[in-house]
Amino acid sequence: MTHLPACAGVGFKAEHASDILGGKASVGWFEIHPENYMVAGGPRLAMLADVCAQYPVSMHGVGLSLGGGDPLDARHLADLKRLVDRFNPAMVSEHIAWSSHEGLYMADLLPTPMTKTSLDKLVAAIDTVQSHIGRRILIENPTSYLPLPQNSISELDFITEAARRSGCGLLIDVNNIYISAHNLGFDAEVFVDGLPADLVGEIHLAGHERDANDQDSILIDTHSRPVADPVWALFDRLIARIGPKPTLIEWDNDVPSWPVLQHEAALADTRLNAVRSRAPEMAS
Amino acid sequence: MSNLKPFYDGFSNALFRPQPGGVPDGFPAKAAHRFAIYRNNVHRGLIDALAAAYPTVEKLVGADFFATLARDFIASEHKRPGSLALYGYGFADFIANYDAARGIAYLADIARLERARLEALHACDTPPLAAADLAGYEADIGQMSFAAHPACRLVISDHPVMSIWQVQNPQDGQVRGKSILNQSEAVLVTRPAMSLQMQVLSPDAAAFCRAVLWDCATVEGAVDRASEVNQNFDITQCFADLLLSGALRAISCTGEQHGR
Repeated sequence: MTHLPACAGVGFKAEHASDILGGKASVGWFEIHPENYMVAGGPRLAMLADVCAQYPVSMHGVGLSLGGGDPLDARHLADLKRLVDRFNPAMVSEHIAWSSHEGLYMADLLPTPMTKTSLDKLVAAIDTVQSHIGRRILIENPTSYLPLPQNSISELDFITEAARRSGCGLLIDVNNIYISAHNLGFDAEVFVDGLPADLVGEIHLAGHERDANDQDSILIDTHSRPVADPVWALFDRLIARIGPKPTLIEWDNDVPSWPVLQHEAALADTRLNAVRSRAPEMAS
Repeated sequence: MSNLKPFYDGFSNALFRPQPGGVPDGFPAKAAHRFAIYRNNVHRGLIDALAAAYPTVEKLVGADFFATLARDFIASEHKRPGSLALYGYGFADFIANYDAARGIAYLADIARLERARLEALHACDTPPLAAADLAGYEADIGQMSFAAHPACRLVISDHPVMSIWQVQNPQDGQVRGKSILNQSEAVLVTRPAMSLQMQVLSPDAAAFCRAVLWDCATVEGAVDRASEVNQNFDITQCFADLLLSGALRAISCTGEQHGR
Protein backbone atom coordinates (compact mmCIF):
# COMPACT_ATOMS: atom_id res chain seq x y z
CA MET A 1 0.00 0.00 0.00
CA THR A 2 1.23 3.50 -0.85
CA HIS A 3 1.54 5.74 2.18
CA LEU A 4 0.19 9.26 2.19
CA PRO A 5 3.26 11.52 1.86
CA ALA A 6 3.85 14.20 4.52
CA CYS A 7 3.17 17.01 2.05
CA ALA A 8 0.17 18.98 0.81
CA GLY A 9 -2.76 17.35 -0.96
CA VAL A 10 -6.07 18.71 -2.23
CA GLY A 11 -9.59 17.44 -2.78
CA PHE A 12 -10.06 15.97 -6.25
CA LYS A 13 -12.63 17.84 -8.35
CA ALA A 14 -13.74 16.63 -11.79
CA GLU A 15 -13.43 20.20 -13.13
CA HIS A 16 -9.68 20.05 -12.43
CA ALA A 17 -9.19 16.66 -14.12
CA SER A 18 -7.52 18.03 -17.24
CA ASP A 19 -5.06 20.00 -15.07
CA ILE A 20 -4.27 16.97 -12.94
CA LEU A 21 -4.29 13.81 -15.04
CA GLY A 22 -1.13 13.10 -16.93
CA GLY A 23 0.93 13.75 -13.80
CA LYS A 24 0.85 17.51 -14.34
CA ALA A 25 -0.13 18.54 -10.82
CA SER A 26 2.52 19.61 -8.36
CA VAL A 27 0.59 18.41 -5.32
CA GLY A 28 1.53 15.21 -3.58
CA TRP A 29 -1.84 13.52 -3.23
CA PHE A 30 -5.61 13.80 -3.62
CA GLU A 31 -8.57 13.24 -1.35
CA ILE A 32 -11.96 11.93 -2.44
CA HIS A 33 -15.21 11.24 -0.61
CA PRO A 34 -15.99 7.54 -1.14
CA GLU A 35 -19.73 8.32 -1.05
CA ASN A 36 -19.44 10.04 -4.44
CA TYR A 37 -18.11 6.82 -5.94
CA MET A 38 -20.61 4.36 -4.47
CA VAL A 39 -21.95 3.51 -7.92
CA ALA A 40 -21.77 0.36 -10.04
CA GLY A 41 -19.66 1.71 -12.90
CA GLY A 42 -19.38 4.47 -15.45
CA PRO A 43 -17.08 7.42 -16.13
CA ARG A 44 -16.82 8.67 -12.54
CA LEU A 45 -15.27 5.43 -11.32
CA ALA A 46 -13.09 5.30 -14.43
CA MET A 47 -11.77 8.78 -13.62
CA LEU A 48 -11.04 7.73 -10.05
CA ALA A 49 -9.06 4.78 -11.41
CA ASP A 50 -6.99 7.27 -13.45
CA VAL A 51 -6.33 9.47 -10.40
CA CYS A 52 -5.38 6.45 -8.27
CA ALA A 53 -3.00 5.25 -10.97
CA GLN A 54 -1.11 8.55 -10.86
CA TYR A 55 -1.29 9.86 -7.28
CA PRO A 56 -1.70 8.56 -3.72
CA VAL A 57 -5.38 8.94 -2.80
CA SER A 58 -7.04 9.36 0.59
CA MET A 59 -10.65 8.19 1.03
CA HIS A 60 -12.34 10.53 3.46
CA GLY A 61 -15.85 9.38 4.33
CA VAL A 62 -18.74 11.68 5.15
CA GLY A 63 -21.62 9.21 5.41
CA LEU A 64 -20.83 6.41 7.87
CA SER A 65 -22.34 8.28 10.83
CA LEU A 66 -19.80 6.84 13.30
CA GLY A 67 -21.05 9.05 16.10
CA GLY A 68 -24.74 8.38 15.61
CA GLY A 69 -27.43 6.47 17.45
CA ASP A 70 -28.11 4.01 14.60
CA PRO A 71 -26.11 0.82 14.08
CA LEU A 72 -23.68 1.24 11.16
CA ASP A 73 -25.38 0.77 7.78
CA ALA A 74 -24.22 -2.64 6.48
CA ARG A 75 -24.77 -1.62 2.87
CA HIS A 76 -22.70 1.54 3.28
CA LEU A 77 -19.94 -0.42 4.95
CA ALA A 78 -19.96 -2.98 2.14
CA ASP A 79 -19.81 -0.20 -0.48
CA LEU A 80 -16.84 1.35 1.35
CA LYS A 81 -15.06 -1.98 1.52
CA ARG A 82 -15.59 -2.53 -2.21
CA LEU A 83 -13.95 0.83 -2.97
CA VAL A 84 -11.08 0.25 -0.53
CA ASP A 85 -10.45 -3.23 -1.96
CA ARG A 86 -10.53 -2.01 -5.54
CA PHE A 87 -8.47 1.19 -5.23
CA ASN A 88 -6.29 0.42 -2.22
CA PRO A 89 -6.14 4.06 -1.05
CA ALA A 90 -3.19 5.41 0.91
CA MET A 91 -5.51 6.43 3.76
CA VAL A 92 -9.08 5.90 4.94
CA SER A 93 -10.72 8.36 7.33
CA GLU A 94 -14.10 9.42 8.71
CA HIS A 95 -15.62 12.01 11.02
CA ILE A 96 -16.54 12.09 14.68
CA ALA A 97 -20.08 13.06 13.82
CA TRP A 98 -23.45 11.64 12.96
CA SER A 99 -25.24 12.08 9.67
CA SER A 100 -28.03 9.49 9.70
CA HIS A 101 -30.93 8.89 12.06
CA GLU A 102 -33.27 5.91 11.75
CA GLY A 103 -32.12 5.27 8.20
CA LEU A 104 -32.48 8.86 7.01
CA TYR A 105 -29.23 10.46 5.84
CA MET A 106 -29.03 14.18 6.67
CA ALA A 107 -26.22 15.26 4.30
CA ASP A 108 -24.42 17.09 7.13
CA LEU A 109 -21.96 16.30 9.91
CA LEU A 110 -24.00 16.70 13.08
CA PRO A 111 -22.50 17.00 16.57
CA THR A 112 -22.00 13.83 18.59
CA PRO A 113 -22.63 14.28 22.32
CA MET A 114 -19.41 13.68 24.23
CA THR A 115 -20.35 11.30 27.05
CA LYS A 116 -19.16 7.95 28.34
CA THR A 117 -22.00 6.18 26.50
CA SER A 118 -21.34 7.86 23.17
CA LEU A 119 -17.60 7.21 23.57
CA ASP A 120 -18.23 3.49 24.06
CA LYS A 121 -20.49 3.45 21.02
CA LEU A 122 -17.98 5.40 18.90
CA VAL A 123 -15.14 3.05 19.85
CA ALA A 124 -17.30 0.06 18.90
CA ALA A 125 -18.25 1.68 15.57
CA ILE A 126 -14.61 2.43 14.70
CA ASP A 127 -13.71 -1.13 15.62
CA THR A 128 -16.43 -2.45 13.31
CA VAL A 129 -15.17 -0.34 10.40
CA GLN A 130 -11.53 -1.27 10.94
CA SER A 131 -12.37 -4.97 11.19
CA HIS A 132 -14.61 -4.81 8.15
CA ILE A 133 -12.20 -3.09 5.79
CA GLY A 134 -9.13 -4.67 7.36
CA ARG A 135 -7.20 -1.48 8.05
CA ARG A 136 -6.63 1.30 10.53
CA ILE A 137 -8.59 4.47 9.92
CA LEU A 138 -8.25 8.08 11.09
CA ILE A 139 -11.11 9.99 12.71
CA GLU A 140 -11.56 13.75 12.38
CA ASN A 141 -12.35 16.24 15.15
CA PRO A 142 -15.70 18.02 14.56
CA THR A 143 -16.68 21.61 13.84
CA SER A 144 -18.99 22.88 16.59
CA TYR A 145 -21.58 25.62 16.40
CA LEU A 146 -23.32 25.17 19.72
CA PRO A 147 -22.49 23.54 23.04
CA LEU A 148 -24.49 20.37 23.68
CA PRO A 149 -26.06 20.26 27.16
CA GLN A 150 -25.41 16.48 27.16
CA ASN A 151 -21.60 16.81 27.00
CA SER A 152 -19.67 15.49 30.00
CA ILE A 153 -16.20 14.82 28.51
CA SER A 154 -13.95 17.46 26.97
CA GLU A 155 -13.43 17.18 23.21
CA LEU A 156 -9.69 16.66 23.55
CA ASP A 157 -10.19 13.80 26.02
CA PHE A 158 -13.01 12.36 23.93
CA ILE A 159 -11.11 12.15 20.64
CA THR A 160 -7.88 10.98 22.29
CA GLU A 161 -9.67 8.26 24.22
CA ALA A 162 -11.62 7.16 21.13
CA ALA A 163 -8.37 6.75 19.19
CA ARG A 164 -6.44 5.07 21.99
CA ARG A 165 -9.18 2.54 22.72
CA SER A 166 -10.06 1.68 19.11
CA GLY A 167 -6.51 1.74 17.79
CA CYS A 168 -7.36 4.29 15.11
CA GLY A 169 -5.46 7.52 14.47
CA LEU A 170 -6.52 11.17 14.44
CA LEU A 171 -7.10 13.42 11.47
CA ILE A 172 -6.73 16.88 12.94
CA ASP A 173 -8.67 19.61 11.20
CA VAL A 174 -6.98 22.80 12.39
CA ASN A 175 -9.70 25.00 10.90
CA ASN A 176 -12.29 23.02 12.89
CA ILE A 177 -10.30 23.64 16.08
CA TYR A 178 -10.14 27.37 15.36
CA ILE A 179 -13.88 27.54 14.58
CA SER A 180 -14.96 25.42 17.56
CA ALA A 181 -12.68 27.35 19.94
CA HIS A 182 -14.24 30.60 18.75
CA ASN A 183 -17.83 29.32 18.79
CA LEU A 184 -17.65 27.44 22.10
CA GLY A 185 -15.11 29.65 23.85
CA PHE A 186 -12.13 27.39 24.50
CA ASP A 187 -8.43 28.08 23.90
CA ALA A 188 -7.37 26.73 20.50
CA GLU A 189 -3.64 26.82 21.35
CA VAL A 190 -4.16 24.77 24.50
CA PHE A 191 -6.16 22.27 22.44
CA VAL A 192 -3.47 22.04 19.76
CA ASP A 193 -0.72 21.66 22.38
CA GLY A 194 -2.66 18.83 24.05
CA LEU A 195 -2.99 16.66 20.94
CA PRO A 196 -1.06 13.39 21.26
CA ALA A 197 1.66 13.55 18.59
CA ASP A 198 1.79 9.78 18.14
CA LEU A 199 -1.87 9.60 17.08
CA VAL A 200 -1.98 12.35 14.46
CA GLY A 201 -1.82 10.85 10.96
CA GLU A 202 -3.11 13.70 8.85
CA ILE A 203 -4.05 17.38 9.02
CA HIS A 204 -6.86 19.32 7.32
CA LEU A 205 -6.85 23.05 6.55
CA ALA A 206 -9.72 25.07 5.11
CA GLY A 207 -11.23 28.53 4.87
CA HIS A 208 -14.16 29.67 6.98
CA GLU A 209 -16.57 32.59 7.06
CA ARG A 210 -18.15 34.75 9.74
CA ASP A 211 -21.90 34.38 10.05
CA ALA A 212 -23.78 37.56 9.18
CA ASN A 213 -25.43 38.00 12.55
CA ASP A 214 -24.24 40.77 14.79
CA GLN A 215 -25.74 39.55 18.07
CA ASP A 216 -23.77 36.34 18.16
CA SER A 217 -20.45 36.09 16.33
CA ILE A 218 -20.16 32.62 14.83
CA LEU A 219 -17.61 31.19 12.45
CA ILE A 220 -18.88 28.75 9.84
CA ASP A 221 -16.87 25.98 8.22
CA THR A 222 -17.62 26.87 4.60
CA HIS A 223 -14.54 25.46 2.77
CA SER A 224 -15.06 28.38 0.40
CA ARG A 225 -12.00 30.57 0.88
CA PRO A 226 -8.24 30.57 1.40
CA VAL A 227 -7.00 29.37 4.80
CA ALA A 228 -7.17 32.21 7.35
CA ASP A 229 -3.99 33.58 8.98
CA PRO A 230 -4.84 32.43 12.54
CA VAL A 231 -5.42 28.91 11.19
CA TRP A 232 -2.02 28.96 9.48
CA ALA A 233 -0.53 30.03 12.83
CA LEU A 234 -2.16 27.10 14.62
CA PHE A 235 -0.94 24.78 11.87
CA ASP A 236 2.63 26.07 12.31
CA ARG A 237 2.34 25.54 16.05
CA LEU A 238 1.10 21.97 15.59
CA ILE A 239 3.68 20.81 13.03
CA ALA A 240 6.53 22.51 14.91
CA ARG A 241 5.76 20.06 17.73
CA ILE A 242 4.64 16.89 15.93
CA GLY A 243 6.54 17.22 12.66
CA PRO A 244 5.31 17.36 9.07
CA LYS A 245 2.16 15.34 8.29
CA PRO A 246 0.07 14.82 5.14
CA THR A 247 -1.92 18.06 4.95
CA LEU A 248 -5.09 18.59 2.95
CA ILE A 249 -6.32 21.92 1.64
CA GLU A 250 -10.13 21.68 1.62
CA TRP A 251 -11.87 24.01 -0.83
CA ASP A 252 -15.26 22.58 -1.77
CA ASN A 253 -17.48 25.63 -2.36
CA ASP A 254 -16.77 28.47 -4.78
CA VAL A 255 -14.10 26.06 -6.06
CA PRO A 256 -11.19 28.08 -7.52
CA SER A 257 -9.27 27.44 -10.72
CA TRP A 258 -6.54 24.82 -10.51
CA PRO A 259 -3.62 27.31 -10.27
CA VAL A 260 -5.25 29.04 -7.28
CA LEU A 261 -5.82 25.74 -5.48
CA GLN A 262 -2.31 24.57 -6.32
CA HIS A 263 -0.92 27.82 -4.91
CA GLU A 264 -2.80 27.28 -1.62
CA ALA A 265 -1.31 23.78 -1.41
CA ALA A 266 2.15 25.24 -2.07
CA LEU A 267 1.70 27.53 0.95
CA ALA A 268 1.18 24.46 3.13
CA ASP A 269 4.19 22.74 1.56
CA THR A 270 6.39 25.76 2.32
CA ARG A 271 5.49 25.49 6.00
CA LEU A 272 5.93 21.71 6.07
CA ASN A 273 9.34 22.06 4.41
CA ALA A 274 10.36 24.74 6.91
CA VAL A 275 9.68 22.33 9.75
CA ARG A 276 11.47 19.53 7.91
CA SER A 277 14.59 21.65 7.43
CA ARG A 278 14.62 22.83 11.05
CA ALA A 279 14.30 19.35 12.50
CA PRO A 280 15.09 16.74 9.85
CA GLU A 281 14.79 13.92 12.39
CA MET A 282 11.08 14.70 12.72
CA ALA A 283 10.43 14.25 9.04
CA SER A 284 8.26 11.24 8.38
CA MET B 1 -26.91 10.47 30.93
CA SER B 2 -26.73 6.94 29.62
CA ASN B 3 -29.45 6.77 26.98
CA LEU B 4 -28.80 9.11 24.07
CA LYS B 5 -31.81 8.16 21.96
CA PRO B 6 -33.80 11.21 23.16
CA PHE B 7 -30.91 13.42 22.06
CA TYR B 8 -30.78 12.00 18.51
CA ASP B 9 -34.59 11.95 18.24
CA GLY B 10 -34.90 15.50 19.48
CA PHE B 11 -32.11 16.89 17.33
CA SER B 12 -33.41 15.15 14.18
CA ASN B 13 -36.99 16.23 14.76
CA ALA B 14 -35.95 19.83 15.31
CA LEU B 15 -33.97 19.81 12.05
CA PHE B 16 -37.17 19.12 10.15
CA ARG B 17 -39.57 21.05 12.37
CA PRO B 18 -41.35 23.64 10.24
CA GLN B 19 -40.95 26.65 12.52
CA PRO B 20 -37.50 28.20 11.95
CA GLY B 21 -37.00 29.28 15.57
CA GLY B 22 -37.22 25.77 17.01
CA VAL B 23 -34.45 24.10 19.01
CA PRO B 24 -34.19 20.49 20.19
CA ASP B 25 -35.73 19.73 23.59
CA GLY B 26 -33.27 20.55 26.36
CA PHE B 27 -31.55 23.34 24.41
CA PRO B 28 -31.97 26.99 25.44
CA ALA B 29 -34.10 29.15 23.16
CA LYS B 30 -31.13 31.45 22.56
CA ALA B 31 -29.43 28.55 20.77
CA ALA B 32 -31.99 28.86 17.94
CA HIS B 33 -29.70 30.89 15.71
CA ARG B 34 -26.83 28.45 16.12
CA PHE B 35 -29.04 25.41 15.69
CA ALA B 36 -30.34 26.96 12.46
CA ILE B 37 -26.84 26.59 10.98
CA TYR B 38 -27.24 22.81 11.15
CA ARG B 39 -30.79 23.00 9.83
CA ASN B 40 -29.70 25.15 6.90
CA ASN B 41 -26.76 22.86 6.13
CA VAL B 42 -28.99 19.78 6.10
CA HIS B 43 -31.61 21.31 3.82
CA ARG B 44 -29.07 22.99 1.57
CA GLY B 45 -27.11 19.74 1.24
CA LEU B 46 -30.14 17.69 0.25
CA ILE B 47 -31.65 20.34 -2.04
CA ASP B 48 -28.30 20.79 -3.81
CA ALA B 49 -27.96 17.02 -4.25
CA LEU B 50 -31.44 16.83 -5.77
CA ALA B 51 -30.71 19.82 -8.03
CA ALA B 52 -27.51 18.12 -9.20
CA ALA B 53 -29.53 15.05 -10.17
CA TYR B 54 -32.38 17.03 -11.77
CA PRO B 55 -30.77 20.18 -13.21
CA THR B 56 -33.28 20.58 -16.05
CA VAL B 57 -36.24 20.34 -13.67
CA GLU B 58 -34.64 23.14 -11.67
CA LYS B 59 -34.10 25.26 -14.79
CA LEU B 60 -37.72 24.80 -15.85
CA VAL B 61 -39.28 25.81 -12.53
CA GLY B 62 -36.61 28.18 -11.18
CA ALA B 63 -34.48 27.83 -8.05
CA ASP B 64 -37.11 29.10 -5.59
CA PHE B 65 -39.91 26.79 -6.68
CA PHE B 66 -37.42 23.92 -6.95
CA ALA B 67 -36.31 24.49 -3.35
CA THR B 68 -39.94 24.28 -2.16
CA LEU B 69 -40.57 21.19 -4.26
CA ALA B 70 -37.35 19.61 -2.98
CA ARG B 71 -38.19 20.38 0.66
CA ASP B 72 -41.56 18.68 0.28
CA PHE B 73 -39.95 15.68 -1.44
CA ILE B 74 -37.30 15.45 1.30
CA ALA B 75 -40.01 15.56 3.96
CA SER B 76 -41.78 12.64 2.26
CA GLU B 77 -38.74 10.33 2.35
CA HIS B 78 -38.55 7.47 4.83
CA LYS B 79 -35.13 6.11 3.86
CA ARG B 80 -32.11 7.93 2.53
CA PRO B 81 -28.74 6.15 2.13
CA GLY B 82 -25.47 7.76 3.20
CA SER B 83 -24.36 8.15 -0.41
CA LEU B 84 -26.19 10.71 -2.54
CA ALA B 85 -24.56 9.57 -5.80
CA LEU B 86 -27.92 8.16 -6.98
CA TYR B 87 -30.10 10.46 -4.91
CA GLY B 88 -33.64 11.29 -5.96
CA TYR B 89 -35.29 7.94 -6.66
CA GLY B 90 -39.04 8.53 -6.89
CA PHE B 91 -38.78 12.28 -7.56
CA ALA B 92 -40.61 11.98 -10.92
CA ASP B 93 -43.60 10.23 -9.32
CA PHE B 94 -43.56 12.80 -6.54
CA ILE B 95 -43.71 15.61 -9.12
CA ALA B 96 -46.54 13.86 -10.98
CA ASN B 97 -48.64 14.04 -7.79
CA TYR B 98 -47.52 17.53 -6.73
CA ASP B 99 -50.45 19.90 -7.06
CA ALA B 100 -48.40 23.07 -7.47
CA ALA B 101 -46.58 21.54 -10.48
CA ARG B 102 -49.74 20.45 -12.34
CA GLY B 103 -49.42 23.48 -14.63
CA ILE B 104 -46.27 22.01 -16.21
CA ALA B 105 -47.64 18.77 -17.60
CA TYR B 106 -44.29 17.53 -18.90
CA LEU B 107 -42.28 18.21 -15.71
CA ALA B 108 -42.58 14.68 -14.29
CA ASP B 109 -41.41 13.17 -17.58
CA ILE B 110 -38.42 15.53 -17.71
CA ALA B 111 -37.58 14.21 -14.25
CA ARG B 112 -37.95 10.63 -15.59
CA LEU B 113 -35.53 11.47 -18.38
CA GLU B 114 -33.01 12.97 -15.93
CA ARG B 115 -33.33 9.95 -13.65
CA ALA B 116 -32.74 7.67 -16.64
CA ARG B 117 -29.61 9.66 -17.49
CA LEU B 118 -28.29 9.46 -13.92
CA GLU B 119 -28.91 5.71 -13.64
CA ALA B 120 -27.37 5.08 -17.05
CA LEU B 121 -24.33 7.19 -16.18
CA HIS B 122 -23.52 5.17 -13.06
CA ALA B 123 -24.61 1.70 -14.24
CA CYS B 124 -22.09 -1.14 -14.31
CA ASP B 125 -19.53 -1.54 -17.05
CA THR B 126 -20.69 -4.83 -18.63
CA PRO B 127 -19.65 -4.92 -22.31
CA PRO B 128 -22.54 -4.26 -24.71
CA LEU B 129 -23.60 -6.76 -27.32
CA ALA B 130 -21.58 -6.25 -30.52
CA ALA B 131 -22.51 -7.21 -34.06
CA ALA B 132 -19.67 -9.73 -34.08
CA ASP B 133 -21.28 -11.58 -31.16
CA LEU B 134 -24.16 -12.48 -33.48
CA ALA B 135 -22.00 -14.01 -36.21
CA GLY B 136 -23.34 -17.47 -36.99
CA TYR B 137 -26.74 -16.75 -35.39
CA GLU B 138 -28.19 -14.82 -38.35
CA ALA B 139 -30.81 -17.47 -39.12
CA ASP B 140 -31.95 -17.64 -35.49
CA ILE B 141 -32.20 -13.96 -34.58
CA GLY B 142 -35.96 -13.84 -35.09
CA GLN B 143 -36.45 -16.35 -32.28
CA MET B 144 -33.95 -14.70 -29.94
CA SER B 145 -34.60 -12.21 -27.18
CA PHE B 146 -32.16 -9.68 -25.75
CA ALA B 147 -31.71 -7.93 -22.43
CA ALA B 148 -31.06 -4.23 -22.08
CA HIS B 149 -27.52 -3.19 -21.19
CA PRO B 150 -27.45 -1.96 -17.55
CA ALA B 151 -26.76 1.56 -18.89
CA CYS B 152 -29.75 1.52 -21.26
CA ARG B 153 -33.04 3.24 -20.41
CA LEU B 154 -36.12 3.85 -22.53
CA VAL B 155 -38.27 6.84 -21.59
CA ILE B 156 -41.62 7.06 -23.37
CA SER B 157 -43.51 10.29 -22.86
CA ASP B 158 -46.71 11.90 -24.12
CA HIS B 159 -44.65 15.09 -24.32
CA PRO B 160 -41.64 16.19 -26.41
CA VAL B 161 -39.26 15.58 -23.49
CA MET B 162 -36.06 15.31 -25.50
CA SER B 163 -36.79 18.52 -27.42
CA ILE B 164 -37.52 20.36 -24.16
CA TRP B 165 -34.36 18.94 -22.59
CA GLN B 166 -32.27 20.10 -25.56
CA VAL B 167 -33.63 23.63 -25.41
CA GLN B 168 -32.69 23.80 -21.72
CA ASN B 169 -29.26 22.24 -22.28
CA PRO B 170 -27.94 23.58 -25.59
CA GLN B 171 -24.76 21.87 -26.74
CA ASP B 172 -21.96 23.63 -28.58
CA GLY B 173 -22.86 24.26 -32.20
CA GLN B 174 -26.52 23.39 -31.72
CA VAL B 175 -29.00 25.73 -33.36
CA ARG B 176 -30.99 27.63 -30.77
CA GLY B 177 -34.59 28.68 -31.10
CA LYS B 178 -35.74 25.40 -32.60
CA SER B 179 -39.53 25.18 -32.44
CA ILE B 180 -40.95 22.27 -30.49
CA LEU B 181 -43.86 20.23 -31.79
CA ASN B 182 -46.27 19.20 -29.09
CA GLN B 183 -45.99 15.46 -29.69
CA SER B 184 -44.99 12.39 -27.78
CA GLU B 185 -41.34 11.33 -27.79
CA ALA B 186 -39.63 8.05 -26.93
CA VAL B 187 -36.02 8.57 -25.85
CA LEU B 188 -33.39 5.85 -25.77
CA VAL B 189 -30.66 6.67 -23.24
CA THR B 190 -27.40 4.72 -23.55
CA ARG B 191 -23.76 5.11 -22.53
CA PRO B 192 -21.51 3.92 -25.36
CA ALA B 193 -17.79 4.50 -24.65
CA MET B 194 -18.54 5.98 -21.17
CA SER B 195 -20.46 8.92 -22.63
CA LEU B 196 -24.21 9.48 -22.27
CA GLN B 197 -26.17 9.46 -25.52
CA MET B 198 -29.84 10.19 -26.11
CA GLN B 199 -31.83 9.57 -29.28
CA VAL B 200 -35.49 10.06 -30.13
CA LEU B 201 -36.93 6.90 -31.62
CA SER B 202 -39.47 6.88 -34.41
CA PRO B 203 -42.86 5.47 -33.28
CA ASP B 204 -42.20 2.08 -34.91
CA ALA B 205 -38.68 1.84 -33.45
CA ALA B 206 -40.10 2.83 -30.06
CA ALA B 207 -42.63 -0.02 -30.29
CA PHE B 208 -39.83 -2.42 -31.22
CA CYS B 209 -37.54 -1.26 -28.39
CA ARG B 210 -40.35 -1.33 -25.88
CA ALA B 211 -41.14 -4.93 -26.82
CA VAL B 212 -37.49 -6.02 -26.74
CA LEU B 213 -36.25 -4.01 -23.74
CA TRP B 214 -39.29 -4.01 -21.46
CA ASP B 215 -41.33 -7.04 -22.45
CA CYS B 216 -38.52 -9.49 -23.35
CA ALA B 217 -40.24 -10.20 -26.65
CA THR B 218 -38.42 -12.20 -29.31
CA VAL B 219 -37.14 -10.14 -32.23
CA GLU B 220 -39.93 -11.59 -34.37
CA GLY B 221 -42.55 -10.66 -31.80
CA ALA B 222 -41.11 -7.17 -31.51
CA VAL B 223 -41.13 -6.73 -35.29
CA ASP B 224 -44.83 -7.63 -35.27
CA ARG B 225 -45.46 -4.90 -32.71
CA ALA B 226 -43.46 -2.35 -34.71
CA SER B 227 -45.25 -3.34 -37.90
CA GLU B 228 -48.58 -2.53 -36.28
CA VAL B 229 -47.29 1.04 -36.06
CA ASN B 230 -45.60 1.13 -39.46
CA GLN B 231 -45.98 -1.57 -42.10
CA ASN B 232 -42.62 -0.57 -43.58
CA PHE B 233 -40.69 -0.88 -40.30
CA ASP B 234 -36.96 -1.23 -41.09
CA ILE B 235 -35.73 -3.86 -38.64
CA THR B 236 -32.22 -3.93 -40.09
CA GLN B 237 -31.65 -0.23 -39.52
CA CYS B 238 -33.29 -0.25 -36.10
CA PHE B 239 -31.31 -3.24 -34.84
CA ALA B 240 -28.06 -1.81 -36.17
CA ASP B 241 -28.79 1.44 -34.27
CA LEU B 242 -29.38 -0.51 -31.07
CA LEU B 243 -26.06 -2.33 -31.44
CA LEU B 244 -24.20 0.87 -32.27
CA SER B 245 -25.56 2.69 -29.22
CA GLY B 246 -24.70 -0.17 -26.86
CA ALA B 247 -28.32 -0.73 -25.84
CA LEU B 248 -28.17 -4.52 -25.51
CA ARG B 249 -26.34 -6.81 -23.15
CA ALA B 250 -26.79 -10.51 -23.60
CA ILE B 251 -28.04 -13.17 -25.97
CA SER B 252 -30.83 -14.50 -23.77
CA CYS B 253 -33.51 -12.66 -21.87
CA THR B 254 -32.71 -12.36 -18.17
CA GLY B 255 -36.17 -11.24 -17.23
CA GLU B 256 -34.75 -7.95 -15.96
CA GLN B 257 -36.85 -4.97 -16.91
CA HIS B 258 -36.59 -1.27 -16.43
CA GLY B 259 -39.69 0.71 -15.63
CA ARG B 260 -40.65 3.87 -17.41
